[in-house]
Amino acid sequence: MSSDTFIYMLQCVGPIMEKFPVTLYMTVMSTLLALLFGMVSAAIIKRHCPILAKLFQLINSFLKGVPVLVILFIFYYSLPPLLATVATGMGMHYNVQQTHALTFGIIAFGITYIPYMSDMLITSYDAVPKGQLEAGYAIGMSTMQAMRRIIIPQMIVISLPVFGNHLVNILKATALAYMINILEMMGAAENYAAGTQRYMETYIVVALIYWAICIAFDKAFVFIESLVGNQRNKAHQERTRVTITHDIAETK
Amino acid sequence: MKSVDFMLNQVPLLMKSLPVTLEILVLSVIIALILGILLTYAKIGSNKWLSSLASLYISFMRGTPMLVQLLLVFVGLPLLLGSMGLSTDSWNTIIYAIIAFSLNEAAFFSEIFRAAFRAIDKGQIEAGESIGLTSWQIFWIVILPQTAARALPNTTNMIIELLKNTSLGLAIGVTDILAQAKQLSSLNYGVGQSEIFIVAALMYWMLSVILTTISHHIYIRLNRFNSHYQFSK
Repeated sequence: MSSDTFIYMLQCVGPIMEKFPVTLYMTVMSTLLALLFGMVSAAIIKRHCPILAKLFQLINSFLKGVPVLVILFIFYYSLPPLLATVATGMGMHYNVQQTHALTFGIIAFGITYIPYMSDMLITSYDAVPKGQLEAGYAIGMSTMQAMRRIIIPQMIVISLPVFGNHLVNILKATALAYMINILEMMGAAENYAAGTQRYMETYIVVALIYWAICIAFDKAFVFIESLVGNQRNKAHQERTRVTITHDIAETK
Repeated sequence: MKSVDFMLNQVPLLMKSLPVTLEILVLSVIIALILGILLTYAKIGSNKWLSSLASLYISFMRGTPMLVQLLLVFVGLPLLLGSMGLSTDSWNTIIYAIIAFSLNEAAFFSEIFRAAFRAIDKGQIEAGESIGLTSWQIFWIVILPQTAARALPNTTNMIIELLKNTSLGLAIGVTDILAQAKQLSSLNYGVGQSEIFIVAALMYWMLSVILTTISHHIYIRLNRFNSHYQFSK
């Protein structure tokens, strides 16, 4: 590699990293959205609500089978006209031109990951032995109390590795956002490369940046897992749960 | 309903690009299966250099967006082959897509295979050795059937992920289902744009449901001797 190429690649880093906050913001907001609706979906499916459970299973199957990009396009192209119609119906004015692509991006990514979050929550709920809930009832806890104090803390420990995986996947998926004109890291890289016409070097740099971020996320999650694991050991609680967590992390 | 009629009219138009999506999917899966097995072999093998090289490769493929990998192959491969004096001018863009997707998928496949391989009792391999099977025979008769039976559900999930990823071909100009939908919507000057994309979404969904169903039948067949395996989707 010539020194000229190396210098160019270093120059790329600045403009691309400048847009890292946008990528991070999209990732975090989409994850929260997916987690929120994932909880709703998991609760409905686990409780076997008569029609809703079937409906949510159908929606989850649909969302799992459709590419993110298609969902992104559906939202980007059909929501603004729909909102405009609704707004006009309600006697308000809605300017299609000022549509905020970032919002649609977050909604689209969030919705795409609902089934994955829902599956993660259902699996971790099933992994907590049923006796625990019953033990909670036996000492006079309400369902909400037992969930909050016994089941959910264990679910968090069990689902942490899977959650970390999903978070990284969402982060990678946000690279598609530049297709609907959101300027995040990938978009910044494209713009920079279009200016200099040195696509290869720019793509290598953006790949390395994404790689570094994903490794950082992975390491952070391993650290959090060990932290949670240590606390559990300190409290002299059963260690089996921790082993299960590691098994999940390894087979994943 | 006007909009339903419109959507039904789009189906045959989008169907024309179905073979492109399927071609990318099938060829990528076949190449990725072979590469994935080789990668698993490198990773669990005794050669330290090969093993860490495989780890690095898998880490890169898992840590970077598919889109970036696709663009890297699309831009980088002609440069690389060009420096060796080979011309890629006559190449169809589909070839780049297949190369990028199979390189990416191989990493994920190898992770699945490795997990499934580790689940096999080492006694099985020793039993094979003790009755005098060669290492190739042990792989073919003992390891492969069990690994395949275990790895199938996750592999199917990855194949569905790949099916979804093929829609990224749009970025390098492959005319698959999504690219066709985009073209149709611009031909209509944006009229019925959302309907066209919804039809495309339904087509992808249909394909993944078909894949899941086929996989479920193969799973039952492969696990017919495993009584303790539950047959659930």
